[in-house]
Amino acid sequence: MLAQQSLFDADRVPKGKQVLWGYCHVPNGSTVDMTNAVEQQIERFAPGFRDTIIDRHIINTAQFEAYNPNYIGGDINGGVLDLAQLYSRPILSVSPYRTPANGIYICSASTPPGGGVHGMCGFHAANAVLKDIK
Amino acid sequence: MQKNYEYDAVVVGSGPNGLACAIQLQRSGLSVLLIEGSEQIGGGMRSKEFFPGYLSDVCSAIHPMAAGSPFFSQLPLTDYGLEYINPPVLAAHPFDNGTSASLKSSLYETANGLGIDKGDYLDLMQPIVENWPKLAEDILGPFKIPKELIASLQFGLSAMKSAKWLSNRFKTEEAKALFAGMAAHSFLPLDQLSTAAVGLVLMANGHLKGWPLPKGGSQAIANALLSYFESLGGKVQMGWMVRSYGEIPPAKAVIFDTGPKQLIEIAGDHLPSIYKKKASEVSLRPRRI
Repeated sequence: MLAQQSLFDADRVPKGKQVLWGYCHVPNGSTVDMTNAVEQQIERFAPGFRDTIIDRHIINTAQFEAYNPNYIGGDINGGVLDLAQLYSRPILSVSPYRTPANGIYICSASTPPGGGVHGMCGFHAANAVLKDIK
Repeated sequence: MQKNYEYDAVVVGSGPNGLACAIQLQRSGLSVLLIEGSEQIGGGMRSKEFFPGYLSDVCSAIHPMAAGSPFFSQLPLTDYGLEYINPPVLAAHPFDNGTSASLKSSLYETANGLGIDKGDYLDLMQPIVENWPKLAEDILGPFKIPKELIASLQFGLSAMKSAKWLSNRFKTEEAKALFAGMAAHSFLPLDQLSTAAVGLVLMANGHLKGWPLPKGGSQAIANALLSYFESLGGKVQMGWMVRSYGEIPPAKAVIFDTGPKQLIEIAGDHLPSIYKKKASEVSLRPRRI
């Protein structure tokens, strides 16, 4: 998957230049270098792309976990979000944000509704806190 | 016994959920401290110049879920510098013959681009797009009996299916590919049950709020959330990587915007072993269901 944000937000780059942002899925924890595969796929639909590259910055799953310790094995979703785990992360509960310890809560992407920039895990966790302490 | 705490609540981690949690608590009248381990707030919303003068998003980049978030939509984030840019085409899937299938803001324009699948696309997406605003808060949350029962069940019947099964309704490669690309955001094999849900939600949000990029990078979302939090009186401390529970200022509630692993590392002494066992069993690899 690719995005070329600087095409629509020119202040992100020097005049006449672009940043191309992209990723591909790999098995959890894989550190296989996917650069060539990704660039070949782009070339398939945009021949000549490779000749335009000034420089690359590549992040593999291990580096991603070092950058953000929540990304175990590079997983930005905080654990597989399949049918079995949709509502059961980190544990199966009507209030998954509460832990058994009084006053300790979890609100990350490892809680419903899961990964993505929407803040809804945090919002629901906050409401659980408010119910408990008000 | 009423103890006097410096803060009512401490949030550990400033990703989208940490910031959302901190804001919701602070605006509900609590005093909140937000602690961030790195020198830059935002978690998965950080942007960085890997090369001087070239700003890049590090993790998240395009934001249908932020623009469509029932919670973020309540906040005055434009007053705090957030500006979304919506490109004319939200997403496109290219083919070897030079054609492409594309998702546009308009439901009808998107459907019109799908040839003989126009009717099927409209039949699938129109009810979801129409119902999504009232379903979003229920579906994007913990499991409960939804307020909008019929509309939720209708959505659930499509969403529960595998993306592969659902895409069989389409005849063209274009429509199948477009939907597959959306559903791939589930990070699961597309023949697995419920993978359709992610595709449907992303497409519905595209038709409702677009797939915008924030001006100035994903960091701009984090910065706007933080500025709003601080305007409410919230306090933030960056560059403090919490290692043990004892470091955290005592508060009525401590909320971790971290994975279960970090929660257990930091607060494990306070958690029963059965919880630690269950929470650390959260699967990281797709399994057969």
